[in-house]
Amino acid sequence: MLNSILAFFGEGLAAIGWQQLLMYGIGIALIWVSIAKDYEPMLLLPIGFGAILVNLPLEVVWQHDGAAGAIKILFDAGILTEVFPLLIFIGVGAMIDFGPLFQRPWLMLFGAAAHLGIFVTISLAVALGFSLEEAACIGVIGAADGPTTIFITTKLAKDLLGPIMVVAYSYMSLVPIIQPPVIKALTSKNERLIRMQAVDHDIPRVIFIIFPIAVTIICSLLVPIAAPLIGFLMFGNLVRESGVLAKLSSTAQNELSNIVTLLLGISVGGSMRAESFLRPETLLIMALGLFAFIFNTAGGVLFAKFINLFLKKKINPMLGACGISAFPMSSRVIQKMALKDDPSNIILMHAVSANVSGQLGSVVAGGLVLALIPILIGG
Amino acid sequence: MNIDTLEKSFILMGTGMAVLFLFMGLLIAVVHFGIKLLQKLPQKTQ
Repeated sequence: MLNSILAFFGEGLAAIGWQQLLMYGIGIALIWVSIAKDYEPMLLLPIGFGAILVNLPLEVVWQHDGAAGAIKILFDAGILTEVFPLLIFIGVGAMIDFGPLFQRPWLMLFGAAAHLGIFVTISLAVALGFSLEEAACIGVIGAADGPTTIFITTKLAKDLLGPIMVVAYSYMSLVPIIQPPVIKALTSKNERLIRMQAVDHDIPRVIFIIFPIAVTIICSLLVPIAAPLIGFLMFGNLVRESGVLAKLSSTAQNELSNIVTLLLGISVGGSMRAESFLRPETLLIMALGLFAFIFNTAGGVLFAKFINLFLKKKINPMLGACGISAFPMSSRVIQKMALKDDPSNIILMHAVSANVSGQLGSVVAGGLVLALIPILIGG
Repeated sequence: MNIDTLEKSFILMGTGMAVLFLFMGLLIAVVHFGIKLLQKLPQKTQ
């Protein structure tokens, strides 16, 4: 009897190896940076705790005695079915104000240019030995769009979900550290001093209603597989702009987003089991994710410099860096950089315009990856 | 390194960027002409 009791208590201890201990360390590190450094705490804290939970002895929260554990149930129901990222998109859509973009629609070009890094990273990852599907999921990290990254990875390379999500959300929180040196390296001080002309047209209210519907239809015609992503994003925006669903808009922006983010974070953390996370590929994914972020920023800045060659009235090339999906962080970073060089240079609204178009661009880029890869592999 | 897969990744890059710019171009056109049209409509009805 005593032996059985001792064996029972020893069972947990015996199930812990160095891998589990390392995962506890990673989980604690994620919790620490989220609290002490305020890096994406809404996601990194649940992910960090989930990483600890799922590596506890016998992995009871994942699977035990042949039955799915609580985290696996959440993971299967919310992530494998893609419901969580889509619900988050309703909230994100309800938060987006396209007003500044309607004042300067040409800035949407940066929402395309600043996604070059995704495709360059895919090629680099392929050159380093990843399959095209895995490379695509790694490249999408550069878009700085968590829900799209989850959506793509769930469809193309489920096994990489844990490392890719941790890398994606970590770098997203590091936008203020990653972007400035890249921008400085590619621009001169004179270029960063360029002022942008303020514009204030009257925008008819109906355009705010038409836009989400038009975006959904145009995107779905070009890339039908992106319809769920763009559809849920634009549905959230339509709820906001309709003007008659204030309560639903508020719920989507607050309660819905918060609840789903909480469950998403802990479910993603649940995918960080030692055997799937502690692999040499994880380090490569970290390096390639950083490359994707850097190259997306560079793509936007270089595109702005390129079009400046043809313009009489030059544009501030820093705006190109805002074409990624990290909203509003990227626009804040660029405004801060502009103010550092000239304390009276206000380019925030231009930066916001490019930034919200980056949110559309990342969804379309994700949809393109999903649509084209099966064709390329099949061909 | 698989050259065939690398070649496919370049095709993905070219096609992806082209469609992205096309998408943004269409959106710019919708917003630009949409606003112009809607601003003219009330004047016509007056």
